Amino acid sequence: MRIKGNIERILFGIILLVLLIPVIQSLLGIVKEVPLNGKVHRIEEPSLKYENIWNGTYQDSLSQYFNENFGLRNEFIRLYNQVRFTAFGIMAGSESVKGKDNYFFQRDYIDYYYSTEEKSEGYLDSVNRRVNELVGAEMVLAKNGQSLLIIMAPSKAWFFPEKIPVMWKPIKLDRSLNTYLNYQKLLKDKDINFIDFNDHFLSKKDKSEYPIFPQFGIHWSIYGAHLAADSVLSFLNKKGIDSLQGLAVERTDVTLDIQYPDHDLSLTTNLIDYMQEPAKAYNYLVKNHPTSSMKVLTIGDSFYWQMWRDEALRTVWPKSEFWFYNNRYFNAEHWKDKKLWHNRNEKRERFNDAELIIVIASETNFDEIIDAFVSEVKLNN
Amino acid sequence: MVFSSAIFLLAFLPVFFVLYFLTPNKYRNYTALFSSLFFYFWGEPRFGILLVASTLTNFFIVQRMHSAEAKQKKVLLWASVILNIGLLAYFKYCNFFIENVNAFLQGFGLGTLDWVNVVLPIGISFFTFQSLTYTIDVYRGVHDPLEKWSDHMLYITLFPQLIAGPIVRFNTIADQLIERTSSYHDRVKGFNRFVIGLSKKVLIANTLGEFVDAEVMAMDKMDSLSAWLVLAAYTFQIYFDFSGYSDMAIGLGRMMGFKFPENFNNPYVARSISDFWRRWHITLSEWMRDYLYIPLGGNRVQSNGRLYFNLITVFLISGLWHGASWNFVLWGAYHGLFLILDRAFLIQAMNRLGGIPSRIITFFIVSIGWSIFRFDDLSQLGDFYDIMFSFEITDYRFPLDLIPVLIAARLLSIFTLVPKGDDLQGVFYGNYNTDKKVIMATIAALLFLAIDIAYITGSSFNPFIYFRF
Repeated sequence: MRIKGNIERILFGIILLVLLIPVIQSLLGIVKEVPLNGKVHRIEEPSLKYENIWNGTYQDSLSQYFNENFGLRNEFIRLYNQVRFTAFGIMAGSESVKGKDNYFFQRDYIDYYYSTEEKSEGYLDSVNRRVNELVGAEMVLAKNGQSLLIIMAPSKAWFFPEKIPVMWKPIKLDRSLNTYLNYQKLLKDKDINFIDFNDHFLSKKDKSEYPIFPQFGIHWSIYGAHLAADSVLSFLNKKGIDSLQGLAVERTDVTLDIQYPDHDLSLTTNLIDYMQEPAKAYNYLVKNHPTSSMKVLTIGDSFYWQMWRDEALRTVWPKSEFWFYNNRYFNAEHWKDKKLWHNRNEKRERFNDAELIIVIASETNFDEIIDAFVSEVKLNN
Repeated sequence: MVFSSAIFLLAFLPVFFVLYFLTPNKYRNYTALFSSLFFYFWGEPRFGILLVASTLTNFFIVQRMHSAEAKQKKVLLWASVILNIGLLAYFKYCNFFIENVNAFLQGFGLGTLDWVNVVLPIGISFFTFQSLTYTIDVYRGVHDPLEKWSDHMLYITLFPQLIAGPIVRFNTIADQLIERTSSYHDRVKGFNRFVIGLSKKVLIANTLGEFVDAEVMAMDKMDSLSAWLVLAAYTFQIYFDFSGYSDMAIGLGRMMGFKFPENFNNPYVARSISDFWRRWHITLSEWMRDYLYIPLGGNRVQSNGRLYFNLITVFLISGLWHGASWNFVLWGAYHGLFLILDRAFLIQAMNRLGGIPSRIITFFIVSIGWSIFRFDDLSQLGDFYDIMFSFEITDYRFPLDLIPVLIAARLLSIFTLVPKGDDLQGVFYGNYNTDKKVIMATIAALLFLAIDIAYITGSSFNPFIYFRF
C-alpha cells in the first residue's frame, strides 16, 4: 500500500508537537510535575550582559539552565534512571550500587570490604598511631573525670557480602590493610571501651526478628540502630558509667510507611517505577521512660543519627549533643537545628563539660572521625 | 550549540521548523541563513564575524574570477585558495608551528619566540574545505557561481553540516540552493534519520566515550584488559560519534529539502585499508582525491615511487587536517603506509585470506590507528601500548553498560554482512514506503528521541570528538 500524503502530514505535525511539548509545559505548566528526590545544586538563570554574550559564557550558562529547567525535565531524568536501572542494573549516582536481589549498597562500603579503596603509604602505621592516640586520649579524659566509648558501626557490605555483585570482588583479595580488621584487632587488645557492632550484628544476622539492615538503605535500619542503642546503654551500665540499663520498649510497629533513612538509596534512584521497601519495624519507648542526666557528647558520622534521633538515645539522654563529623553540632532539645560554635572557646567548654564522650563511625569514616576526636582532645587539653 | 543538547532539540529546532515551513518557499533560504548564522554565532560569537567576512570575500573573489580572463582567473583562484588555506593555517596550525619552532630553538639553547595561543574557531576545517570546493568547482567550470551572496553564505553556513560535515561539495548542492522542495515525505524520513544519528551519538558514542576518558585519566590504574577495552570502546566511540553526527546532518538536510551525500558506508566491514577509506568519512576522501590526489597525478603516474609519494602526501595532509599535533600526522602516515602496502601486495594477500580474516585484520589495523589518533601525547601512547601488551590483569570492574553497549556497537557496525543486512540498513535510511512502515518508523523514532533526551539531560557527559576540527 503506497503512502498517502496525509499520513506523513499528520506524522510531521506530531513530530513538531512532541518537540514543542517541553517548552509549552515550561511556559504554561499544564501538567503538575513531581520533584526529584535528593539535593542538587541548581544553576541560576544567567543575566543578559553584552560581555557575557560576546565571550560565550551567557550561552553556556543558558544551555545549562535550560537543561535543568525545561518542561517535564524531571520525567526525562526518571526515564534515564529507569532505562539504565532496568537494562543494566545501574543506579542513579555514581556512589550507589545495585546488588543481587535488588539489595542496594553505597559503593564505599564495598570498596572497604574488599580493601580496594586507595590507601596511602604507611597506612598500617597510621592505624597503629591512631589506636595509641585513642589510648592516650582516654587517659587524658579520665584525668578530667570523663569517660570514653569507641564504637565501630556496622557495614552493610560486611553484613550482606552474598549480595555484592561478583564483579566487585578483586582478582586477588588482600585484606592485610583492611580498615575494619586492623582496628578490630588492635582495639580489642587495648584496655579501652570499645563496641564492635560489625561483629555484633553479624552474630545476630539470622536471629533478629526484624531486619537490622534495610534492603534499600545505606545504614543500619532504625530498628537495628535501636537495638544498638540498647546495647550501648547496657554496656555503659555494666561499666558503671551510666545508670540506665537499656531502652524500655512499649511496642514495635511493623509498617509499610517507611521512615527515612531506611530507604534512602531507593529514594535517590528517582525511577519511574518506584521500588516499594518491604515492611519495617519501628520501636516506641514506654511513656515517661527513665532518663539520665549525664552529659553525653558524641563525635561521629551519620550512623549515630538513627541511634540518637527518635525514640532512642536522645530521649533518654536529654543533655546529649551530637557533633556531626565534628563540623556542626546538634543538641537533644533542638536537634533539628544545626548549630555552629561561636568560637573555639565555646567548643572547648562544651567538650570539657561532657561526662561521657562517644566516638562512633563506620569503617569508611573511622580514620577521619578518630583524627577529628584526637585533635579535639589535643586542642582542649 | 551541539545537536545533542536539550536547548538545540527542544528550543532551537522546533522554533526553526515552525519558522522555516511557515516561510514561503522562495524566501526559505533567508530563514535558513538567518537560523544558521544564529546557530554559529551562538557558539562562536567572536568568530562569527570572521566566518561572515571570509565567506563574503570569497564570494566576491569567485564572482570576479568567473568573469575574468585566463591569467587573472588563475590569480583570483590562488587568492581564494590562499585566503581559505591561510585562515586554516593561522587558526589551526600556528600554535603547533610556533610550539615546534620553540622546541627546536630550545634544543640549541636559543631564546624562544613570544606567542599568544590562537583560539580555534569551531568547524573551520569543514567550512574552509567547502569554501574551496566552491572556488575550484567554479574555476573548473563544473558549475556557475551563485548569483546571490546570501545563497553562497547559506551554502557555507548551513547549520546541519557547518560544524562537522559532511563536506558538501558545491556542485552537488548548487541547484538545490536555488530550487528545492521539502515534501512531508522528506520531513518525516529526514526526522527519522536525524533520530538514528542522535541515538548513535548519545546512547553509544557518549557511553563508550565516558569509559574511555575515565580510564585514560586514571591510566596508572589501567591493566591490560582495560586497555584492550579502551581500544575497542574508542574504535566504536569515534565511529558512532562521527557517523551519528553525519546522520543528523543528512536527516536535517533532508527535512529542509537538501540531499546531502552519505559520509559512511559501514567502514568496519572493510576488507583492506583502501576499502576502509572508501567507507569512512567519504566526503573527505573524495575531497582529497579530487582536489589533491588527482592534481598531484593520482594513479596515472610514471612510477610506483611517485604513486607512493602521492599517497603518503595526501594522507599526511589528511592526518594534519584532523588536528595540529604530531599524533595526527603519525596517524595519517600510518594509514598512508598501509595504502602503499595495499598497492604493493597487501590487497592480494587479503583476498587470498578470504572475507572474514581480511575483515578482522583490517579492523585490528584500523583500531590500532585509532589509538594513535586518541593520544596527543606520544609518550602516553607508548605507556598505553606497554599496558596493552603486558597481558597483566588486576581487575575486572567496569561500568555495567560497557559490555552490552560494546556488543551492540559491534553488531550494528557489521550487520550488513548478514543476509538481508543491506535491506535492513535501507530501512534505517528511509527505504520504506507503506503507511504502516512509516508510522512504525516514526513511532520508533519518537521513542528513541525521548530516550535520547533522557540521556542528554540525565547525564552531564556530552562531548563531541570532531568539534575541534
